[in-house]
Amino acid sequence: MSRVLIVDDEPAILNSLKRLLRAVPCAYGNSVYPLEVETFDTPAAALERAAHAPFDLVLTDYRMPVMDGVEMLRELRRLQPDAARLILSGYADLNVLVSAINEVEIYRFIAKPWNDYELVAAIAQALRNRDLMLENRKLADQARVERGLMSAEALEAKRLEALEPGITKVNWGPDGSIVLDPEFQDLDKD
Amino acid sequence: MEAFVWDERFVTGIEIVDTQHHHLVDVVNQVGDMLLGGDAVGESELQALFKDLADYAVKHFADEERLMEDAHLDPRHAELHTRHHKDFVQQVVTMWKSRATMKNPAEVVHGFLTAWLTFHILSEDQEMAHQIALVKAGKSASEAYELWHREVDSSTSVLLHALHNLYNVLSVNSQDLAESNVRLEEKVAQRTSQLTTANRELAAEREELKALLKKVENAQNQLLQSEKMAAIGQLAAGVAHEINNPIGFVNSNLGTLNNYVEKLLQVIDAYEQCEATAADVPREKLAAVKAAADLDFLREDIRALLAESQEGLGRVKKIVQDLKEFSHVDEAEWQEASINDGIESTLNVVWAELKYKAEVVREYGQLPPVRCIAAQVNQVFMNLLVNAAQAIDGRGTISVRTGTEGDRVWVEIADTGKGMPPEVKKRIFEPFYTTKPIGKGTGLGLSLSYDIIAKRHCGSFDVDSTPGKGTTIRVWLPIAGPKE
Repeated sequence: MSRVLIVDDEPAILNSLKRLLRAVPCAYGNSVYPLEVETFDTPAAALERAAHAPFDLVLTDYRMPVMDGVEMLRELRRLQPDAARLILSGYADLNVLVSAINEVEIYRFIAKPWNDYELVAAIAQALRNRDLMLENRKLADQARVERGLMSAEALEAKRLEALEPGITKVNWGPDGSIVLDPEFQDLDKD
Repeated sequence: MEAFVWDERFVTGIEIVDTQHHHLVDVVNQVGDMLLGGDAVGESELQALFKDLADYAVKHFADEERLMEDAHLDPRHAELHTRHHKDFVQQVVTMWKSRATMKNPAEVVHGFLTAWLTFHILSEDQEMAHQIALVKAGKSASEAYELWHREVDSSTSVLLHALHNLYNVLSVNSQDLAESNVRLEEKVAQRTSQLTTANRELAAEREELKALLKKVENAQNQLLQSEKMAAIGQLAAGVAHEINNPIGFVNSNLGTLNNYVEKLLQVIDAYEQCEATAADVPREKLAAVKAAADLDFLREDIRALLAESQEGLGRVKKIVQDLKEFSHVDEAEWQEASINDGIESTLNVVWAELKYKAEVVREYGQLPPVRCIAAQVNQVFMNLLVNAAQAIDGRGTISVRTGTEGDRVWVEIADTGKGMPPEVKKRIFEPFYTTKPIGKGTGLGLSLSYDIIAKRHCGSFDVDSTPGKGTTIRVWLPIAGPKE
């Protein structure tokens, strides 16, 4: 199951995308990617969720109140650097495109109104691309360990870091205490 | 005015001369009477009578001159006499022509005619008659001339001579006067023609200025139109976003619906097969088909899908309608328009620009219809709303209020944006003045808004701004429109 996060301030868009991805199989070449879709109508809610659950791919609108799509992806990349990033927008301004590509390295920019087939294909390609990249990295690291360039501990730390960014670093307070990340503090309250 | 009375002393003894003198006296009296009649007498009648008088005088003089010639009178008398005839004719014609400029022409013309004839008949004609009589009695012409001059007593002769001179002086003077009158008239005519030319030039210049003014007006209108197009161009991205969103999901929903319908048809096919083969079709098979079609989900989702799509298309329709209403493309220029409705459609058109920047608070008062060019007034509202949104960094509030005061309505657009310092505030209506980055504003929005409100609609602006707090702009419009 590939986990997909979709953000748009327009609930009707979210509904239509959910329908689409439920009905149309997401396939690239021989590999089929069954999807598990979660949708949010504010970037804040999406980021909150992304702080706790990993996603393989994020598809977001650009123009949203409070926070735009590029800002949200910047934040999301900090949380989940390996999630593929796509923008789906009816607002195709050159400045937006430039910042989306240069600042948050999106994989695709899809214009609204979109073509269903192209959208599904873009998602499949992005997932496939991500798989390849992760596999490459894994193989390279294995090669490094085998050739003694990397310790098994470092490899494991890297794996854990990829799963949960920041997990291998400790935030020391001035008095020697350990400072917890804000999101975990929130969790405590819950 | 005294009537010209015939006097026995006028008798010369020559029958033809006396008869003609009698007639002249009568005609002179007629002319006098007519002149006295003033406006009541037609100009053409007067002219005719005067012509009779002149013709008759000329004929009479000719007769007298023939008499003198036949009698071979002394040239000293004959020449002088003939010259005086000529002078008289000229004099009287001049006087007649210039009578319109006289204070009372009846007195003057009649007086002159009377006096001249009296003097002439008593002196020269009497002299002529006498000399003719002497010549007939056998004297020579020169003897007759000298005898007469000896007979007449010296003081009378001197007096007559002096009178002749006086008359000559008068005649010369009035001749000069007449000539200078003619010259004056020529001058007046010249001046008049100069004035006419100057007037014509002025009129031509005026026409030219009018044409130029028309051109300027046209340019102004074009500027207004192009500013509107520029503003709409700026809005186009936002409007496109507003339209692309619903079109995006409606389009995708239709694709999904196609998929759903296929599945439903499969279910129906299965049921029809059941009907055809009747009775003992395994229930499990039907259930399997239903499960494959995900019928329970479809039943729920199709309704939502259709409702959402309908709402989306409704939204597109509304945006197009608002754009049309905003621009009032298919309506007359001046109309009785609802300002609140105009603001509402303008708000919808610029909604894409506003909704990510601000919350819009509407506080509309009850407004009467206002006589205005709605498309232009809406353009002003659009400028103010877009400016308000652009003044806000992050997120703020835009309040739109309307109300009536006396014979005017007001519309107030207040933002919680960054506000303006006084030096910016006092320049906002200047053409090409802008504080926006290049490409974001033409610098003409408010300048043209001012034109629309102040010049075309006789309204006004109140601007209130505090740096860091926000700006409030109030537009005033007369309900009855501008006074024509």
